[in-house]
Amino acid sequence: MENLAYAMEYVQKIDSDKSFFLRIGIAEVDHLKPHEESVPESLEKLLQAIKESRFLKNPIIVDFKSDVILDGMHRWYVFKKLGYNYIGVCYVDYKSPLIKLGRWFRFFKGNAAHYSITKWLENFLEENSIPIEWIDRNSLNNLDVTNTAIVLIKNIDDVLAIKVNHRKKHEFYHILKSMCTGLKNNFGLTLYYKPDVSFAKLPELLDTYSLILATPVVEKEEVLKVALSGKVFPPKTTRHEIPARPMFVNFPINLLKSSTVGDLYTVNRYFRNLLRHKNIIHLRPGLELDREYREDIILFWDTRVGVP
Amino acid sequence: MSGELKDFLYVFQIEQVYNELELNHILKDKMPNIEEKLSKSGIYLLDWNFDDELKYLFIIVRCYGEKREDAGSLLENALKDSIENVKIRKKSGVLETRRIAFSDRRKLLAMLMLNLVKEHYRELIGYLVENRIDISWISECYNPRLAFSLLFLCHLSEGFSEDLSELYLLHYPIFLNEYSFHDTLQCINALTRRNLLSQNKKRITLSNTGLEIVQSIYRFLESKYSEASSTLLSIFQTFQDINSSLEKIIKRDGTFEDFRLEKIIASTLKCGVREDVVFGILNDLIVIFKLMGNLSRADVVEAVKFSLDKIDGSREYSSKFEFYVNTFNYVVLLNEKGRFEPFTVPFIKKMIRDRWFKNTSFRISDRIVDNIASKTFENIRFIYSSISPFIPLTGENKVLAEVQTSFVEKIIEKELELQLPYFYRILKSQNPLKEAEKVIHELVARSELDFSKVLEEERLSAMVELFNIGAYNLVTALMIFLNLVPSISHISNCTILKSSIKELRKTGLKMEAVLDRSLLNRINAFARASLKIFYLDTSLEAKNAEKIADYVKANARLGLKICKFLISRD
Repeated sequence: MENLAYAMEYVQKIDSDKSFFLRIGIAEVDHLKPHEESVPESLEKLLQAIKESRFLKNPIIVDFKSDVILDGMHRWYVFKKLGYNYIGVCYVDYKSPLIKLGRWFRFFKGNAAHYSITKWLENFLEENSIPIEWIDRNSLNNLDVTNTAIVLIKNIDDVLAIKVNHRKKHEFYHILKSMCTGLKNNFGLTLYYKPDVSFAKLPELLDTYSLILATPVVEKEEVLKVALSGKVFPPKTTRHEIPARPMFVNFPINLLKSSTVGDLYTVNRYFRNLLRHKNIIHLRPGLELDREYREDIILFWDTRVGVP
Repeated sequence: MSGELKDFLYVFQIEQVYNELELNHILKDKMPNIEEKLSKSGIYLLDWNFDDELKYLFIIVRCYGEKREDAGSLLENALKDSIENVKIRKKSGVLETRRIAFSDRRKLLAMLMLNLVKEHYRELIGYLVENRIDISWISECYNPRLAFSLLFLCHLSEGFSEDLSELYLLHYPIFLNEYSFHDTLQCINALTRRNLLSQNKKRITLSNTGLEIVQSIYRFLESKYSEASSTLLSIFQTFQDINSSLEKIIKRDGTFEDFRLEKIIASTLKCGVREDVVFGILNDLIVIFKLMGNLSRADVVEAVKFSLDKIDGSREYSSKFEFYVNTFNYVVLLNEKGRFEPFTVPFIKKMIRDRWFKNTSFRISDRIVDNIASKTFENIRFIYSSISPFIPLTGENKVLAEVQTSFVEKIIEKELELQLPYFYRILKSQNPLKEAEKVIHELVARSELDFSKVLEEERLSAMVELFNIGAYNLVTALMIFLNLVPSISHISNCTILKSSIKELRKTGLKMEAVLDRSLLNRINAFARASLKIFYLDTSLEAKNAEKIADYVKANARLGLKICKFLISRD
């Protein structure tokens, strides 16, 4: 913590006795550690956008103790690919109970016959030596959610429970990724990622979707362990809920590209000089831009109308 | 109306047809009308911001809670009415918001004063003791230096809100790496316990005792500041000393430039601030820059404005300066169709080429057009900076003033008349072809006279002076003859002539009908020699005087031969 270089500290009061610390600054790209893979199509689109941009609008979210990236993986991969030296970050304390770790469930739409899908799934998992069990929907609540993925299929009453068993969690997730690719390719299903919902709600969603894959819970320690060992989960494994997020900070790309400014403290000192001229707008959850932000927003702002 | 006034944020997505610059300007232009419309319904526009990359327009208004939906619809309609040819879509949801904002001036003051406290802490304690100010409370503060700063900031920000959010803007730049947030909280608690700060439900303010201490701190800091500014210039002897003692300046786009005091002086003078005022603020500026350590471009601008305002309470100078530096890249031009266009040097270059060179056989070098365009741009900036107190500014945004096209045309014409007098005379005449011939004859006649005098002259300096005048006239005549636009710069004319001859030799030998290769070689040699002679420092050439005189005379003779050709071709 003492050695951490950043440009600004902001303490967001969540309620009367809880505060959340955000430290905004510039970090070395090579120093940060991703915990998820990127999606190649998204990466290419973002790369073009960033190449044409003058500013990196929003910082990526990074655990200050481990340098593991929690949010903004694609932006980091783009910066790495473009060979930029620095990236705008917001350091947070991942251990804080205020940061919640959720999952992304996989929802499939399409008209494939349920018995063919079932047959294919059983074969696929057997080939990969993954133990499975067909269980009753009513027993879902007793499942060990950290070690089991479940598949609900339209017109089938039972639920397919896929056991993590003794595999490492990220390896298991990679097998699930291959399974999803197989479902898309073999049955022409369309894949949607949605935030996790309670098991009780899943059966009713089968009115809209033909197959739902509920992924197993990942713990924060597992995320850190995987990232620190240099491995990664597949894309859309974790869904971090941060209680407050800085936006429109506008890190100049010229500064991030630069390799001659000096050490990290100097770069942050320079950036602080730019940040100093901005003002702050504080917003409660609900800001709708490219998506709806369900967390508090700290909006950095160039004031147009007079201030004292 | 019941309840209390609250601030709400509305977000609009703008699919623009205009370019970003134009839209920014239109928004700036229309916002006061929208503000007026809203205020009639008890809704007050507080602030707005436009992200030109993502095309989001953020607007904050203050109104009673029950009016939040009305405010959104009113805003949307007002925007749609005011801005044509763009699609405006209100993003759903209204958010209650809180704005933490200070002007750059307050931030600068906070930086200055807090750095002074840091630098002179021990002396400050001595000063307070000497003036019998009770400082027994500092024993309760874990970080007394921080305590003094917090008292000062509380005064500057007119109190702190409960969550101390003001400190993020005023405090963090200075103490980020020195004190933690917990240190600050501890300090605030200690100051409250000792009744220097008082806390009510929502605000933390200075008590009377606190205010008394702040006033003493302020008196002390002011004396330190004056002391520093009166001794500084004796330490710094040259611009170079000053410049090298300060770090690079960071610009908003993340690029850097070296600190150059002379550049600040030049732009202050250029925008019309009196010379004695400019030199009067120098010490002040250096103190500020030294105190602040490393700077952004916005810091430099604010520091100059601050120093100018100390001398000129009417703020006329600082407003001129702000206008001048903010229009460095562009101002906005209102064209005949009533549309805004960025008024930049490249834009003026296009205007010059379109208006003056489209229908003429004369060719002009890019360097000359660049020069005229830059001068025109400077003139416009200068003219507008003198009336800048009446032009609304938009802070960081560079979109500032409306300039009529016809007015720019006039300035360009004036500039052309000054810088390209012969070309202007030819083009303005009823029969440009005839006029060109007339000009060539006049110039050649003058050249012949000067070169003949060169051959009779004994003194080297007078000989060189006469040669330069003759050469200027002859090179100008040759350029007109070759359909090139001559400027008033002899160096530039010689250079252009040389490169045109080179080009002619390579490609355009259609000129051979009138100019044979040996004549081309002679002209080239003459242009080269003219440049050489122009750069001669005769005072340093006593040893070779005779040799040089021979060289000048030989080239005068060459000049005479070229003159003869230009006359005889009739």
